[in-house]
Amino acid sequence: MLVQARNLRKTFRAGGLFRRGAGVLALDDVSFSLAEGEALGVVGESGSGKSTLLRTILKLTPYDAGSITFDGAEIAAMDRAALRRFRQRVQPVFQNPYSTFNPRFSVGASIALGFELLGNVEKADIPGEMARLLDDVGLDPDLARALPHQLSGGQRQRAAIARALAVKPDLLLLDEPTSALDVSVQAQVLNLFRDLQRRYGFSLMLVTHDLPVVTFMCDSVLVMKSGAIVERGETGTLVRDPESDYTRKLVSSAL
Amino acid sequence: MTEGNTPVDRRSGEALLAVEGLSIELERRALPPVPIARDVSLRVEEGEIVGLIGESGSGKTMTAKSLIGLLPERIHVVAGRAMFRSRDLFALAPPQMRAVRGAEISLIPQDALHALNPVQVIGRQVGEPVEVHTRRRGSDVRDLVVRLLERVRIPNARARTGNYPHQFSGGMQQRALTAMALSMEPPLILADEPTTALDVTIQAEIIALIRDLRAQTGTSFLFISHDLGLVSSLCDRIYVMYAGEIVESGARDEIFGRPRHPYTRALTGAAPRLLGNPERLSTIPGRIPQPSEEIAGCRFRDRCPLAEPRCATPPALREVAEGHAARCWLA
Repeated sequence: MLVQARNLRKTFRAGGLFRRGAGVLALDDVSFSLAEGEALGVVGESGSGKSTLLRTILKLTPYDAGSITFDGAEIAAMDRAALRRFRQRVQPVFQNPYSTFNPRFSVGASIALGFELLGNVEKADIPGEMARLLDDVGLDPDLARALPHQLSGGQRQRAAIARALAVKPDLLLLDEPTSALDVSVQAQVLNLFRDLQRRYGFSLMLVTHDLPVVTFMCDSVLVMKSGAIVERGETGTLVRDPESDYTRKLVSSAL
Repeated sequence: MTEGNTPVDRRSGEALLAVEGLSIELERRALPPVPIARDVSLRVEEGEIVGLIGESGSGKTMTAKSLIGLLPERIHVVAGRAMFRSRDLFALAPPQMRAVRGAEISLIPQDALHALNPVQVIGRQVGEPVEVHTRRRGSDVRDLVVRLLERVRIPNARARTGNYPHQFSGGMQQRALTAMALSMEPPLILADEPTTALDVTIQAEIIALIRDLRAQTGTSFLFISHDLGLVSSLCDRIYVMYAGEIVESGARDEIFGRPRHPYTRALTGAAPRLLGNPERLSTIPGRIPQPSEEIAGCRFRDRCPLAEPRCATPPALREVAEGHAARCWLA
C-alpha cells in the first residue's frame, strides 16, 4: 500500500478569545488505504473533513492520534531527509491554481523550481524538459514566460499540474481541481488527468463535492460526513447501490 | 425579427418578460466599445422557469443585470427593449427602476456572503425590501420576516432573525437571500447561479424550494447557470448563450434530447455523468473568444467540428422545430 491511514483523529480547537469551545472533530477514527496506481475519490460536503484529510496526508495539518504511513514509513516520524524526499513524491493540486504560483515569477520559473528540487535535470536540459512538460499538459511551451495572471483559469490549472508533475511524484493529491472551471474546460482537465495517470503511472486522491467527477476519474471512493468515513467502495457499485442513507442522498442529489 | 416600433411577439399571448434585440457594450476610453451581449431576445411566460446557460464570459449575468438596471459602471444597454408588464425596463428612469427592483423583479445573487451586510442582523435585511417599497413597519414587518424565513425552511426562524450573516451557514445565507427576494412576492425572480457555492444536498433543497414557490405562487424565474444538470432538472425552457449571443433556445427536452447547435451538443457531452461515462469526455478545442475579439461569421466557427465555408456568414437564430431555435447553418 502506498498510503495507509489507521484510526486518524483530528480536533480543531474552537472558541474565540475568551471561551473554550468543545472543538470540531474534523477526522473521526479515519482508516483507509491507497494502492499504487489507484485513483481514490473522497466525497462529502463542506465541513465533512475531506480537505483536512488531504492536508494531513501532506503533513500540512498535524493529527492528534492514529497513524499514516507513506510507502511503509510513518509520516509523523520522518526526519528531514525523509521528509524532503516525501515532499517530492507527494504533490498537491489545489482548487485555486493562482495561489500555487508566485505572482511575480514566470510560470516557467515556478515549474523549474521543481527540477531544481529533484536535481536530476541538467541546467542545459531545463528548457527542453520544460517544453516537453508543458506540451504534456496541453500548454504552448511559449507560455513558460508568461506571468500567472496572464493565463486563463484552465491554462493556470494546467500549469499547476505541470508544476506538480515536474518532480515526478508517486501520488497526486487533488483538492477540487476543476470546481472553479467551466464545463468544457473541466472536461479538458479531467481527460488530461486520466491521460497523464496512464502515462506517468502516479496514484491519485481526488477530493471533491462533485460525485460525477469522481465516477469519471476514480476506481474507488470514500464518502465522508462529519469527519468520519460513512462508506467506501468501488465507484460503480457505490453509486448504483449505496448502502448508507447519506450516500443515497448524495447520489440522488447528483442525478 | 421585429423592427423599430412593432409590438412584441404575441404568438403565445403576452409574455411576462419579453426581451428583444438586447445589445450591451463595455465602453472604453480611446478604444472602440466591447460588445458583451449581441441581439439577445428571450421570453419568460407567467409561471415559467426559464434557464439561461453559458460558460463564464458568455454574457448571461450581464443580460440579467441589465433587466434591473444593475449593470456595472461603463457597461450599457445600447439597443433593444425589455417589455415587462407593458413597460420597457430599459426606458425607465432611475426612480422608476428602483420601484420595480425588489418589488416586481428581484434578484437572488450568486455570492450569498458578499450580498449580505455583515454588520446588520438577518431579520432587518430580509425585511428591507418591504420597508423600502411599502409603509409597513415594526412588528408587522417582523412577523412577515419570520414567515418568510420559515417558508425557506430556516429552523427556529424567530430566534434566527437576530443573527448576523456569519452565524448562518452558506446554505442558510442563500436561503435568507431567497427569502429577501420573495418578500414583495414579485412576479419575476432572477436567480444568478444561486446554488453554485453550495453543497449538492443543499443545492437540491434550494432547487426544491424554487419548484415549490412556482407551484404555490406562480412566480416566474429566470435561472442563470453554467450547470447543465441543474438546468435540465429544473427549467421548462432553456436559452444557451455563447460569446454574447443566444445560440439555441427551446423546451428542456428539445435542448437536452435533440440539441441542434454544435456548441450545445459539445456542452452536454462535456459534463461527466454519474454512470456510464465514456472513456474520454467530449471537449471543445480552443477557448471561448474574448468579447473584444472580432470574429467574422459564426462566433463558434473556429471551435466547431462541423464548420463549413458558409459559416463565414453569420447565421441568424432561426426556428428548427416548433419552439426550438438555433443559430447555425447546419441545424
